[in-house]
Amino acid sequence: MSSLPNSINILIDKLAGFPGIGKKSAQRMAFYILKSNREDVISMAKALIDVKDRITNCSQCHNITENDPCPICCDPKRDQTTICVIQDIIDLISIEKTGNYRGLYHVLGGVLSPLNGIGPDDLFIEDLLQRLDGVNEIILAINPTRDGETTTIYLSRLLKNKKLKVSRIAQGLPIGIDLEFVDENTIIQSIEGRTGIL
Amino acid sequence: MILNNLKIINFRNYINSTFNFNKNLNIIFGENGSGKTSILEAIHYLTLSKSFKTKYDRTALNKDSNYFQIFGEFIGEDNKKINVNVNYENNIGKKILLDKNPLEKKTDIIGKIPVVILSPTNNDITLGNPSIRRNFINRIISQVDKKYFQALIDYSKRLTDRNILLNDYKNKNNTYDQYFEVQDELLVKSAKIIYEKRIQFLEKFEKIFIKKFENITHLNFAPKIKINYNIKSEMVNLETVFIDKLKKRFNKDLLLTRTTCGPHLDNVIFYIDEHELREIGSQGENKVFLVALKMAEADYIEKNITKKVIFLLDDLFALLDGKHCTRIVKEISMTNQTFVTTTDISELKKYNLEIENSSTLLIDLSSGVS
Repeated sequence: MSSLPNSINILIDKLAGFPGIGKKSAQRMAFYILKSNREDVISMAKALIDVKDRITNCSQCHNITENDPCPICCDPKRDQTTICVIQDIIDLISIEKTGNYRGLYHVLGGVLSPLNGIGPDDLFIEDLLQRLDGVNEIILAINPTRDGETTTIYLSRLLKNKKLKVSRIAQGLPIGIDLEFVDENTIIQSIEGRTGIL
Repeated sequence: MILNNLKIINFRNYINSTFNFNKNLNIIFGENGSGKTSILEAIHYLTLSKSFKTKYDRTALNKDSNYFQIFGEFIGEDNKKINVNVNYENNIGKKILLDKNPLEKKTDIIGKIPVVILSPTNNDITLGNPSIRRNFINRIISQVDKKYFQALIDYSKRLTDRNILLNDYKNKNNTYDQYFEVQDELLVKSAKIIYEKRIQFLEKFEKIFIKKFENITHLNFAPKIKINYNIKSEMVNLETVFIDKLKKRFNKDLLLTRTTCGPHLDNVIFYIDEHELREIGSQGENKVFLVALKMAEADYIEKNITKKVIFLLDDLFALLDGKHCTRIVKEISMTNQTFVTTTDISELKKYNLEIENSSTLLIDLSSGVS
């Protein structure tokens, strides 16, 4: 590496900081940038800066947005009485893709995790409790991991006695899959969480 | 299940050897260092993905080689053949193939072919500290009950979480708040499954064990297995009892930054005639107890998965006298395929083990490894 000019070394180090990018990939990317024409590189750099300058978090739901509050929170056609609580913005994108949910969101920004040093004060939990006026229902749609479970139960305790309908999303089998390919714990969960049809 | 044949390449002393086995009893004999235990070790690799002697696969390599291969052909209860192949190469690692298909996770092989091994290293089960006995029962229950296995993993992760939180709280607020209570509730949820399943297990297992014990020994005493549960309660109240105890001990736990109650402290105790085996048991009593435990393990697993267990008895004669050994070998090999290693077959002959019939195969390694 020492044989390379300093400026390219700095670029490689920066690129290697991306998730999923190792030293070798970073090197290839750096040389690709070096070979690209100047205009492309400038527009790429501008895109990077724009993202940082123009995107903020919605002060209500903590979704990413260019205008605060975000378009979802401002949309009068959406059901303002239902809030779906999710772990990260990426989960919001997944739910929005379905086009089937018409309420609001609340992004926690993570899950409770003693191992990673994340406690209640590190998440947007207090903000959620502050925006319950006029809300009838809370849907807890946090990932069914061990830490997600802790977060779901903790939130359900905080929302108790607030005259709200509080539910959590169902756990079990994915649609369109054969039982034989499902792991044992999911099957156990689906049988325990079975729903009546008659 | 039955192991029909075994081929080992560059494994321990073996360069390239093939063995065909009997479906009942296989006695492997030869001097020290002749490669008896290596055969059992190879079978262990095929069924449990690893050795029972070493943590490091490379130590099982033949000294002149950088790879080893083990091939085994098993025959199931339905007469279907199952081929397992374990390959290890230095700097590349280990691969396991089931009917020529590489397994994604090496541990996926576990449970496909049930084995029970008894080797001198198992002496710890009766003589060692409580965690070894806890592991012994955890392993048996986990093999037949996935929910228990999952509860154990959940419990241990949540316990780690709780201990980390104790450390955080010690440095910060010191009070038992709602967040801590939620953590405790979830810990108790897994604890309840563990408690319930341990009780169910012990009830069945102890009966099997006592029967096995009586079958193999003339020693006249009453064996017993008890679990000293750290938290005891009627099943319906367990959650409340456990939560209360956790709350009560919160300040103490805070000082120690560890959790001082729960099923991770359950103590499995073996008794002979009301006395603790570990305290008063002779060498022989400990060993008879151990053999009966292993036989009960096999029986318990068989009842739950409807496959026959393969027995690996490594150096049984180092553990017990000839009379006991012969009785045990006879008892086990009547129903299960059994592999026995010994340096001396005259002991077996002395106690009238019929070794010259069709249900016994003698594998003589005394002329050295071929």
